[in-house]
Amino acid sequence: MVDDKPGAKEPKKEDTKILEKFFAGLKREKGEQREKPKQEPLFNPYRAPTEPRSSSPGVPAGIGLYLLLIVASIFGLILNKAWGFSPAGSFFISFILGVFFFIGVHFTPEHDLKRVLVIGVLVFEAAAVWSLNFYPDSIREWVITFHVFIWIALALVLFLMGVFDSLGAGQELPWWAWLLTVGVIGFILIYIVFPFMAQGVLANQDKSHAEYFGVAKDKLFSVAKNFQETTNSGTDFIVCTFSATSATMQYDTCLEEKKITRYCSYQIETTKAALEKNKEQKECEDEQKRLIEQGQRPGVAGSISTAIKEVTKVDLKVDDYFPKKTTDAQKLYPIALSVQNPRKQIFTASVSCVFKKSKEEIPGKIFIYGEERNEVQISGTDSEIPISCQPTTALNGRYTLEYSAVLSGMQTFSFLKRAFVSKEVDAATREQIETDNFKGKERASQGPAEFALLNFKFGTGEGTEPLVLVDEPVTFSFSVADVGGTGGEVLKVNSYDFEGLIYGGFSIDGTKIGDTDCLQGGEIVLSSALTKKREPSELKRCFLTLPPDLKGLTENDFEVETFVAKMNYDYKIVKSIPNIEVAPLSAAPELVS
Amino acid sequence: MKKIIFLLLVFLFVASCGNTPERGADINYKQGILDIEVASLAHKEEYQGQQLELPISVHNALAYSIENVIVSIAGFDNYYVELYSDEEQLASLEGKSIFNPEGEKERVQFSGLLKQLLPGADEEQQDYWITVEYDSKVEFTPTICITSDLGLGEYGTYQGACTVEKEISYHGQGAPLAVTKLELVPRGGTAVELRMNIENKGKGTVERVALVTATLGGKPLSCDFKGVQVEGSGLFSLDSGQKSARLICVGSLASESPYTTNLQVELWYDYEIIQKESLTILGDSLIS
Repeated sequence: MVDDKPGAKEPKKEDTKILEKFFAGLKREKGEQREKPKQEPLFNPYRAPTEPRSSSPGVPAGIGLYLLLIVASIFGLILNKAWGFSPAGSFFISFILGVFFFIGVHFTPEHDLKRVLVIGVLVFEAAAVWSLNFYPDSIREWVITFHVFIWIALALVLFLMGVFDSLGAGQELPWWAWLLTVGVIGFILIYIVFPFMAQGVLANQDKSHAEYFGVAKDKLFSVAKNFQETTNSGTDFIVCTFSATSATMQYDTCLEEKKITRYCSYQIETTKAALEKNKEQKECEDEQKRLIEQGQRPGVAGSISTAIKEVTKVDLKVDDYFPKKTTDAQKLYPIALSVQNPRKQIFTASVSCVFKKSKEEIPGKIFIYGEERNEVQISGTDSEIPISCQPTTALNGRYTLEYSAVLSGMQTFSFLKRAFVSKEVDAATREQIETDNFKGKERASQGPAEFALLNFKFGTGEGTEPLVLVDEPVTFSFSVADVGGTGGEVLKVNSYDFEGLIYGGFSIDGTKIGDTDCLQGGEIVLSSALTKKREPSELKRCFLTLPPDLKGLTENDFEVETFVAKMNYDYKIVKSIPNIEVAPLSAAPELVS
Repeated sequence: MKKIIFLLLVFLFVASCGNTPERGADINYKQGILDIEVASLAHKEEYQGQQLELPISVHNALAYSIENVIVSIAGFDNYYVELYSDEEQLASLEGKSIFNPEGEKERVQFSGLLKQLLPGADEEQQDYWITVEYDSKVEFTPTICITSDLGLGEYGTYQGACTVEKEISYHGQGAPLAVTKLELVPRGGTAVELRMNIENKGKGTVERVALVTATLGGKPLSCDFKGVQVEGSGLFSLDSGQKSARLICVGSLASESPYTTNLQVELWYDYEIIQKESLTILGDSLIS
């Protein structure tokens, strides 16, 4: 340094040395500061950040990335649902998500395990999409559930792993990451771990891909397919705890009420009875409460017989020439009532139709064989009955045409095999009888695959065992199952007759409590709450007295017999035809759905 | 001429030295495990609404006659099949002998009605059981070398004495019930104990067994059954799960030294054999 001011003395060499030393010292200090290893805070994964949280990233880029993966997986689910979960579409979306996830986790710490998880999920998706039909019913619904939600589940798992990675590295998490972590763990506890998962939801036959989401949702949340299997959600437990605490309602009663509401609202939603929704909901809830008051009568199961090949079929069929678009405001809309009647039953079909648009309903006139009438008797074997519907007022816009046909006087039969033994029978004989006569379905009643199934059981105890001990009391009960598929409903039983038992010498044991008309009777009004269940609720129950020849069986003697029962009933079938456009030439069309 | 006669004699001599067929009297049928044979001779498929004829063949292939033969049918579903009678009886059936080397065979006929199938059904398979019960006997008559000497006659035996075997196995006596093992237990002095294993080697079940005769060299033996439920003197029953019993007989001998003598044990038993068959009832639309 040169001081050019007059009179300035030249710094002494000593001062320079001192300055040099000073600056050298400063440099050393800075270097020490630089080189001093950053003191890592003590690891405490449970410690919440005490310093004010900053929105600026004091966090690894991974946490934000995991959020992105969650969003991507949700987007993938929405896309998949819109696409109807078609196998090719599902696999394509899974592949894209797989690539996205794979690239994403590459930039996170300890990515090897995460990559393995991503590949594993991709492999599962590839297998599940193409092999779904090979799984038995009990496993298929779980596979569908995993298939629907697996990418979201993986994203959440990766997120939690990222959270633990970050906490393990002693890094702070932003408030939203903590919120999401608590939310995920809370969800798992409340909705999955805490209420026990419902078991045994019976898989529908011929499930289409588009129903996957419904299946997955039902499986996770145990929404009612069957009242006995309806469970309470986690919120029910919390709400009812408060109700019990505040003494407004007993805890058990509260849980039961919540179950009924959930079961009935699901039933109404699936039957799509939009206008009468509230009424049906109330009826359903009243019915379930009545059943509960009765001590929840057990159900009576049955099955469809594969041995009965010729069955009665009635269907409303729309052909390819159905006028979906027309300018005629009061056009005739044709449909065919297709009947296959191998047993030559005699019954009537009462047909009605209605045009629906939002809340508007316009009834239609029915023409059968070109005549204006709404009832036709069916007695032949096969027939195609031409039916037309004409709106009673002019249409304009887009409608849904709903045909209904009430089939009155349908007849069906069921059969049940039982073996009668004395209690002295030895184990080898008993086993041989069961092996020879009761393979699988033969343990319960069976009937043809038509609209309603008359289920019945009788025997020792609850009557489900195929071997009847002639020395013990014999119980009897029956129910009616609606097996006509979606869009139909069994309305009532007109008459029932367990003629096999009656002619076989069985009678009602009047000394025990039971229904006096359980073997033969008339009208029973039904509801879907009673009939649309895996084990429909029993309608009648009593004890039976055996005929003398069976009562006298001793030692290893046995008798095997099949008992047949008949039922006459009414069934309603419905056919909805959406998107019927009517654009009269004289008026602008109101294409409002 | 002399040469011709000589040649004829030589010819006769040679011919008589050839293998002669065994005469019936030489064949011992009372060996091995033999059982009766039951078969349904009915057609396996019948149409609904027809009369049912169910012939059952019972063949006594035992070495003994069988008596009080009851043939019964069980297992038909009364909704589909109505049998007019489910039991038939035969007095007796001869077993294998020189007069009937194959054993006697008899046919029993059951009749009934095949009812209509359920509406819409093509066919219905019916499994049924044929049960044959009978009474018969089995004779165990070995010739054995016996001694009451505790040393089993190893010392002080005379030349030409028989060799005592402590245990002898047998492969049946021409019936499903068989004595499969004989054990000789000398008791010193003149006492000897014979232990016999009696087993049910057939396909059916033996219910009760009665000891009718037990002699050694013509002298009666005192016998007891072991390991089974003894019902009375000389009578025991085998549970369905049991397959064997032990007969312990005690007797006295003529001498301590080993000698050959005949043991005779006769057992009567009742037996049941079950044969499973099936019948398919066809609907009218099916071609058999």
